[in-house]
Amino acid sequence: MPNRKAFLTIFITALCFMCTLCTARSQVQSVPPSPDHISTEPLDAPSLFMEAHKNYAEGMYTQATLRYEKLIRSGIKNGEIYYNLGNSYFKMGMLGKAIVSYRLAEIYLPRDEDLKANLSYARQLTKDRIESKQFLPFINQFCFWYSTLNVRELLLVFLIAHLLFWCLAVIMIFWKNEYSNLTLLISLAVVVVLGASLALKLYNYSYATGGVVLAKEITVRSGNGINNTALFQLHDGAEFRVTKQEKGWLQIELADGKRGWVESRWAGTCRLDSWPPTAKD
Amino acid sequence: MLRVKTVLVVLLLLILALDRAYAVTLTATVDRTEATLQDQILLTLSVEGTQSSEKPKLPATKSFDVLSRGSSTRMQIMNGQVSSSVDYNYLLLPKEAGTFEIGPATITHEGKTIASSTITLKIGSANSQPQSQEDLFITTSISTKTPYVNEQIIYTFRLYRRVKIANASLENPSFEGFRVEPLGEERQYETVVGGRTYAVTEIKQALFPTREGRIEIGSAKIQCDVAVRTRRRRGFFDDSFFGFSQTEPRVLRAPSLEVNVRPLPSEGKTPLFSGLVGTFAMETRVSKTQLEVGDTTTLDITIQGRGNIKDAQPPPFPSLSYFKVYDDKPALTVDTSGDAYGGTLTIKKALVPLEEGTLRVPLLTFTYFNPESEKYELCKSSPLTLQVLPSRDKEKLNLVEALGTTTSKEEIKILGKDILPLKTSLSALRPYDIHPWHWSYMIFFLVPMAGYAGAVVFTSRKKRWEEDLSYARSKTAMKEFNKRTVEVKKQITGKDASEFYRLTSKALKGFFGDKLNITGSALTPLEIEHQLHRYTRQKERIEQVKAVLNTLEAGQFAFQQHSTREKEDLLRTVKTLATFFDKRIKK
Repeated sequence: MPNRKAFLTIFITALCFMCTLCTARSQVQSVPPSPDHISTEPLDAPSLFMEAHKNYAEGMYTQATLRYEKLIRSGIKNGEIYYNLGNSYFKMGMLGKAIVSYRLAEIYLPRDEDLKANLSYARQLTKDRIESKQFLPFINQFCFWYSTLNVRELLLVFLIAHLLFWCLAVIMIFWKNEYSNLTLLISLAVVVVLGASLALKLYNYSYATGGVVLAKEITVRSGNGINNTALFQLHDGAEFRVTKQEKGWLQIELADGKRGWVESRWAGTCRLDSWPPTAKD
Repeated sequence: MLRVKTVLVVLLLLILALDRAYAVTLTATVDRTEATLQDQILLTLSVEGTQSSEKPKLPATKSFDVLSRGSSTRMQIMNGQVSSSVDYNYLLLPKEAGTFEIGPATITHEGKTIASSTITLKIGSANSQPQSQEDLFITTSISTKTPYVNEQIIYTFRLYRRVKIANASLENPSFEGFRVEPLGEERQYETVVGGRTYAVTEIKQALFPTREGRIEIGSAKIQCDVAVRTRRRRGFFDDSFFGFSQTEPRVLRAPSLEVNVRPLPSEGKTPLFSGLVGTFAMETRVSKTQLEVGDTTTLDITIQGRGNIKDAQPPPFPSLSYFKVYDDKPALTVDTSGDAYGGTLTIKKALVPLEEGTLRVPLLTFTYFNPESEKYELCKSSPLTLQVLPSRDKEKLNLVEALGTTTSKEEIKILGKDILPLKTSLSALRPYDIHPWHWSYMIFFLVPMAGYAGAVVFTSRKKRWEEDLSYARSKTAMKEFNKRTVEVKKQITGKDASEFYRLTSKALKGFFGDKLNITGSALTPLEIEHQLHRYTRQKERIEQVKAVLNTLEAGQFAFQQHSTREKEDLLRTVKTLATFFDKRIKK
């Protein structure tokens, strides 16, 4: 029965895929939450939220920022709150921090137009012009499901497609016609593509490598020490990819391919568990 | 002897050859060695001894214009000797006074360069007086020697002649520092100079100095062929009537002129100054003075005068709230028929009144410089008023429609840039778990696969059921057995005792038959025993089966009477055995 064998293979592959997801999950969990994230004092979130708005409206951006940070540390993490935090940082003139916050908000709200507008405006204001050598720039347009859905939504879409595929497979045991094999193959392709997208998204999410310059001006050096040759300078808000982390230094790579090392204290990474930075930063 | 002869012949030939080589000469001659700037000198270069020479080369000279006048070949036979020569004729036109050397001219013949002697020429400056005595002379004059910048000067060229000329070509000076405008056609008239009648050709040009300071107008030059009156009448056909009269090329020069251009005075110069120098007047006119709002009237502005009218610009027209003004292209008409350069500039403007009432067309003004009075003068338009009536509704509607279709949309102006506002909805307080791991997701993921697996198992069993009879019998054996025992139970208390044993035996045999896929009713206890040995090693169970079957056989035929209790026990044993073997015998 070759049909049965084929489905057994799919079944095993799917199980392996789920195992991969499990590993990704365990990676996410393995990062211990900083003590800062657990707030001991009881928190009146709605009033804190309203106060933060009030501060923002009155132009007291520092207070607003502190309140939004407190809300996030108390465990309320979502796109809106990261967006508001980004706005507060922006108004304080901290472009780099604003960009990190907006990028984190983007994980939750990939389709939010306000967020896109603010992020692109903040990027416009940065000093460094970095030519992007993006491979296949149309891929974002083409794989719209990848760029317009967040991880959870993509998972749900994948599961629905998965369910439909198996339903179709069951139906085909009892009832077959000339197109059924083709239909099954197409739905299998959809499931595979969605699964691959989900796996990629999860990978990018779990091993986020995006970084942003937080200081007014930093020097990128050829090695992880202050005595190394200065290669070039970056300014507040410049974005890069972290390729290695060592002794308080980050090896970075710009979109145009320039590489070097920067001190990690002047750079923010786009990871949900490391943002907002602790007060001493 | 023969040798001596040969040597002599060779020598003779050599001498002859040498003689031939030396025979080619080049001589340069002029018709006169002293001349003035108005004269021309005929230079003849004669190449003697050959006819096939190339043209002699004359070194370039700055002091003369050299014109080729063709060549002529001569051949002479004198005392039996033939000599041939070529004459090349040149006309030398002196450009400056002084003493100059002409030549030497050179010619290359059979690889050798032959040079002529040099000729010294003495050129005197042009004498002005003798001209009147001559038959042919030219004059140039200008209307003023001290013009202002942009003031027009009239440059007049006159050719006086008493002889016939042909092929005349006038070479004007370059007029550097001036803008030149031709002034009408050339004029022909007769005049008397020093008691002699001359035919005069007059050409006038208007010059506008473009810069101040001393500017020299170079000398004018005319080249022509003059008919020469010959003293000797050679023949009938020499008569000029027949066009065979002899001509002589002549070049005439007029002395250069100098003007001293004055700058325009700064006194009285206002921002209204239009740049015009001369005499000008302005007139304004409207096509209709009574009209309705939205109707059109044409305003004609005419600037007329003598001077640099080409520089005229439309006078500034103030922008008005009660008029909409549409400009037309200004039209310039140049008048060169008179003695001076001038013309008319016509500017047309379409005026559309936007308000009703008595509207004044604004006064237009500009100033120009009048070189005669040496003052800046003001030019003013005549005052004009328009009577504007309210427009009729229909026309207003049309106007609005027209405006509606023609109004162009404005670009959106970006006044500033800022980030978009906060998200203030309280939904922002709900934590959103982005982690894609939850037991419900796992179930959602696994359930469809499990469902599929179930469906596969179900269909495969169903298929076997349909295809494999022994399997189906084996699977239904217990069910059939239970059905039969229900019948048996009814017979426990029944009157016909043998019926109980028969049915029980049938049920048990049927069970084993189904299980072993054999026709059950025909089974003997021995056969059953034999078959059961394949499925179990518990001999006591097989013995039990044998005993029960024997009891049942005996009950059927020996009329053995058992109590109801014993029958129930027997049935229980049968059931236990059936259950035991149902588990043991698997297909």
